[in-house]
Amino acid sequence: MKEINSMRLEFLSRSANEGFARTAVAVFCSQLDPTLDELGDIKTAVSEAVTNCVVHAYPDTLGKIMVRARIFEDNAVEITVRDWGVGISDVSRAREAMFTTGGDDRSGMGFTIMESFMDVLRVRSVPGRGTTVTMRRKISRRAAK
Amino acid sequence: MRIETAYQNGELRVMLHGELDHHAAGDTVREIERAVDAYMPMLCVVDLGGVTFMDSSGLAVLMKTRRRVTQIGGKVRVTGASERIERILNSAGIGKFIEITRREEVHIERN
Ligand SMILES: Nc1ncnc2c1ncn2[C@@H]1O[C@H](COP(=O)(O)OP(=O)(O)OP(=O)(O)O)[C@@H](O)[C@H]1O
Ligand SMILES: [Mg+2]
Repeated sequence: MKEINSMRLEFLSRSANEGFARTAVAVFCSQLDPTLDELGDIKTAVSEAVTNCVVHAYPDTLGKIMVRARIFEDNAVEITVRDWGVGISDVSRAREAMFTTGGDDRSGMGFTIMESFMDVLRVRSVPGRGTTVTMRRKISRRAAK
Repeated sequence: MRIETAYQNGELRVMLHGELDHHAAGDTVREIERAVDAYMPMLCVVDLGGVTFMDSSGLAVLMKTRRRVTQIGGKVRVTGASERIERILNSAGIGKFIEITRREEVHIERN
């Protein structure tokens, strides 16, 4: 599938950047003329992925987070959120609903929410090296444009 | 995130406005807990009607509120959730622990 447009953001793992990242991705996706619902779903999923980097990937340090968004010919958007933090030793366990290493500050629902709000969710991680989350969502084409 | 509280007859109403994410969660929990400790309510109603964005970080805020209110023998009710927020609440099965009233039910019945 042909890529039509792309962008890349890089920022520090400060919690203030969670809002920045989800809003920036939403504004970039606006060129696909999504509904408010579609935009809200994307914002939520991006917020989950970026918050995981802030909270889990760099628990006691500030690290680098990269967010990339690509728009394809078929009106799909692909979002990649990457960190170079602690990584995940058992990805399939981490993706299970309610699984968390965050104690009572977290509920273990982030990956479940990303999965239900996006069409595709891929998680790749190497312990000690970092984590890459890739999500894809097709934006409906509206009849009257 | 802006938090308003109102207390009357054993009922504490906590109205949240703005974006409830991880960045806002810490302060939000602290403010809710402070109000709960001050008023010791029988019922704490968390009104999400003014929340324009919420993710999983909001779930932990609600569960922590529930824990604090339960400790003093009270109950928690969540109201005003948008459709998307309701989806998030349901995906985590929050309804098993906290009463959730739908947005429509809090309005005056039509005809
Ligand atoms: N980027 C990451 N780096 C390291 N570990 C991660 C990362 N993302 C997720 N994890 C691990 O996967 C677990 C599950 O993540 P998920 O987002 O589903 O839940 P959570 O973050 O624990 O809670 P919630 O998202 O509901 O606040 C986390 O508790 C953490 O152990
Ligand atoms: Mg998470």
